[in-house]
Amino acid sequence: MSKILCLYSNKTSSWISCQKIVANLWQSYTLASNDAHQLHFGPEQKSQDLISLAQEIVDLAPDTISFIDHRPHPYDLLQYLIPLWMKNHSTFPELIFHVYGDFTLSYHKWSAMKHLIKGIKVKFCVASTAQRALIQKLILNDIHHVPFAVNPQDFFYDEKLREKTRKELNLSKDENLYIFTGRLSYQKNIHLLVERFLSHVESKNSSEKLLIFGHFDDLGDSFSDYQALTGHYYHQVNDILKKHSRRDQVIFKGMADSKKLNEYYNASDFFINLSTHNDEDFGMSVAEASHCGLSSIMTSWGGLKDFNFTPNKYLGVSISPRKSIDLSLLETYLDQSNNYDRKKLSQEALDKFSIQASAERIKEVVKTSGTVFEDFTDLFYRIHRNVLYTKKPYLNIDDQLNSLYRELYVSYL
Amino acid sequence: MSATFDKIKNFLESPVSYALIKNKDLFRDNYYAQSYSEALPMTDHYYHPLNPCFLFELTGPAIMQHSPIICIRDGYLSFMDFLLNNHQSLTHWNTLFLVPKIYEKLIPPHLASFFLGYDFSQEKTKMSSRDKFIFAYLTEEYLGNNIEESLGQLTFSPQDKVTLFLPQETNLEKISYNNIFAQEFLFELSKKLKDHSVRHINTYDFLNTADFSSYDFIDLASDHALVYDNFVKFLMASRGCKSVFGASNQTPLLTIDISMFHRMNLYEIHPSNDIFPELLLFKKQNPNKKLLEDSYFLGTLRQFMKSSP
Repeated sequence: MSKILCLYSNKTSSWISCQKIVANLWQSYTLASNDAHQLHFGPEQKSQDLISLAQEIVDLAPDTISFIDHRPHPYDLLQYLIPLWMKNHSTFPELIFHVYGDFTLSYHKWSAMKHLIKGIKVKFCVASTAQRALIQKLILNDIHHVPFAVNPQDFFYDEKLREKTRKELNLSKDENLYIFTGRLSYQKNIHLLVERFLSHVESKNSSEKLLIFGHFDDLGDSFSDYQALTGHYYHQVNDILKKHSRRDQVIFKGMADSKKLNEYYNASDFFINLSTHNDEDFGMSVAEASHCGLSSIMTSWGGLKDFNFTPNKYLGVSISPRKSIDLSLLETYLDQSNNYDRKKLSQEALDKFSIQASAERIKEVVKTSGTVFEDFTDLFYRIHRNVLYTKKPYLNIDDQLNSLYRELYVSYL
Repeated sequence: MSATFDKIKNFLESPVSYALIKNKDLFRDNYYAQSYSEALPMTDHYYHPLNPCFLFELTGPAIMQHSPIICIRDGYLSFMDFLLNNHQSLTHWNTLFLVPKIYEKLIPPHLASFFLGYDFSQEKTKMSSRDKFIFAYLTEEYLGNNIEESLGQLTFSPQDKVTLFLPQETNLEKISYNNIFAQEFLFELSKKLKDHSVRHINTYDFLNTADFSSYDFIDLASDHALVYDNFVKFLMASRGCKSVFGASNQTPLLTIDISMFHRMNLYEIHPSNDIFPELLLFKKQNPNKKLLEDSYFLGTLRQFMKSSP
C-alpha cells in the first residue's frame, strides 16, 4: 500500500458539518490504508511556516497527498511544496482534492493552481453524484465519488432509545415528530419551513411538533444578492411565528452535541430539509439522520438527491427565473404514517455513508491511476471572468438568475 | 405613556421597520467606515426591529424624519454630548429615542417624553462553566485607569480554561498612549493567568464561532462610557452564551426578543436635573469646545455616573 499523507487545517472549521466531515474522512483514510499520515496547516500560517511544512512533507516522501479539508485552499501550501519537491524529484506525488460545496466560491485560487499542478496526476473527489456532474462541468479530469462519511458510533438506530426519548417528550406512538438540524439560514429556507409547517398543523388542528436545532446566521445568498445585517433572519422567522396561533409547536432547541442529536433523530419521525443552497453538495445532517433510521422529506436539490432511500420523499426545485420549490406535495408528505422500516433505512445508510463505506471508496480511488491535470473547462473561465468583473456574476441585469448559473447548477436539479 | 407604547407597537407591526433596514445606504454604510472603526467589533452593526444605531450615524434631520424610533447604542459620553447639542431639536424631530435605562439620570424632566429606557436580559444562569471567555477592548477609556481594580473582578478555579478576546487599537504609524496601556494591561493579566490554559482569539475567529454555549462571559469594561449595546455581547448571547446579561430585576413595560436567547426590555424613565443643567451651562460658557475632547466634561460625567446610584 502506498504512503498517503492527509492534509487538513489545524484550526477547527466554523462550519459544524465540516468539522465532522474532516474528522470522519481522516478516519476513513486510516481504515483505507495502514500507511496513512496526517499533517496540518492553517489559514493564518505565515510563508515561513508553510515552507517548513513543505520541507517536512518532502522528508516524509508520501506517494499520495490528499487535501481533505475545505480550508485553507491547497494553493497556499502547494505554491511552496511543488517547487521544493521538484528540486530533487522528476515526478510529484499524486494529488487528491476532496472538493466541498465552496469550490464554486474559490475560482481565483483554483485558477491560480492551474500552472502549479499542470502535468501532475490529480484526482478530484466529490461527495455526491450531483456535485460530480457540477464539478465535471468545470474540470477536464475524471471526478471520483467519495461520499462524506458518518461515524456510526455517534449516529445509530436504537429502538429503545427512540421509545425512551419519545416518552420523555410525551409523544404517543402515532404522533409524528418532525426535525431539522443545521444552520438556521436563509440558504436553508427555514422561513419557508416554519411557515409551511405551521400552516399545516393549523389547517389540520394537529398538535404535532417541529424541533429545530442550530443557530441563526445571516449569510444570506450572495448568488442572488440577498444580504442582511446580523440578527435580521431571526426576526424574519420570528415575524412568521408571531402570525401563527400554533407557533409554540415549532421549538427552537439551539445547538446540541452528537449524543443529543442522536437521541432526537431516533425519537423523530421525519427530517425536513428545504435547502436550495448553492453549496448543498452533500447533506451531512440528512446522512446522520438516515443512520438513525429517520426518513427525510427534502428538496430534490444537489447532494440531497443521493439519499433516495425507500421512505424518503422529494420536492421539486426550479431555478428559472429564480430558485423556487414546488411545495404542492409537502402537505401529503407531512401526513405520512411514521410506520416505516427504520432498521432497514439505517442499514442502507450505513452501507452507503459510513466511515467504512467511505474507506472502501478511498481504497478504490487510491488504486486507480490518476490523470494528469491539463486545464479547467471553458465554462470555468467564463464564470471566472464574470466573478472578476461583475458584482453579481450569476444575475442578469433584471436580477434573474442568468444562463451561466443555469448551465452550472442544472446539475443540482 | 400609552401613546408612546402605541407608537412602538405600530412601529413594530408596520412594514416601515423593514423599510429602514433596506435603506442601508441612506442610514448606515456611507458613514460607518469613517468612524468608530477602531472599536470594532464592539460597534459592529446588527439588526433588531427598533433600529439600533450609534449617534454618529444620525447625520441629519432627514434620518429623524425617516425613523420614528431609534435605539441608541452609544456609551454615555457621546449620548450626553448629543443631548447637550440637540436638546432643542428634539421637539422638531418627533423621534422617540430608546436609551439605556441607566442613562435616565442624565435626562432632564422636560425632555423625558422623547426617551424610553432599555436594557437586555437573559434567563438567570449561574456561572458554572470551566470555560471563561474574557472580552476587553484594550484602552483606558474602556477599561478604566485602574488596572488592578479592573482585574480584581477576575477569580478563577485552578481547572478553568480561559479564552481571551482582546481587540486593541492598531496604528502602524505611531505608538499611542493606548498601545502602552495595552502592554501594561496584558502584562498584569498574564500574571493573573499564569497557571491556566489560555487561548487567544481574533475578530475573525470570534465572528466565526458558531456556539458560545459552553462559555462564561466576562466583560472587563469598567462602565458604559464608550459603548452600551456592544456587538460582542449581542453575538455571544445570540449564539447560546447564557451569562452575558443578567435576568431583568424590574418589570418592563414591553419586552422584545432580540435572539433565541436574549431580549430587550423597555421601561419608563425617571429623569433628573442632577447633571444636565451644570453641563449645559459649561457648554454655553465654552461654545467652541469639543465636549468629547474636554477633560472637565469627560471627568465630571464619568465621576457622576460612577458616584450616583
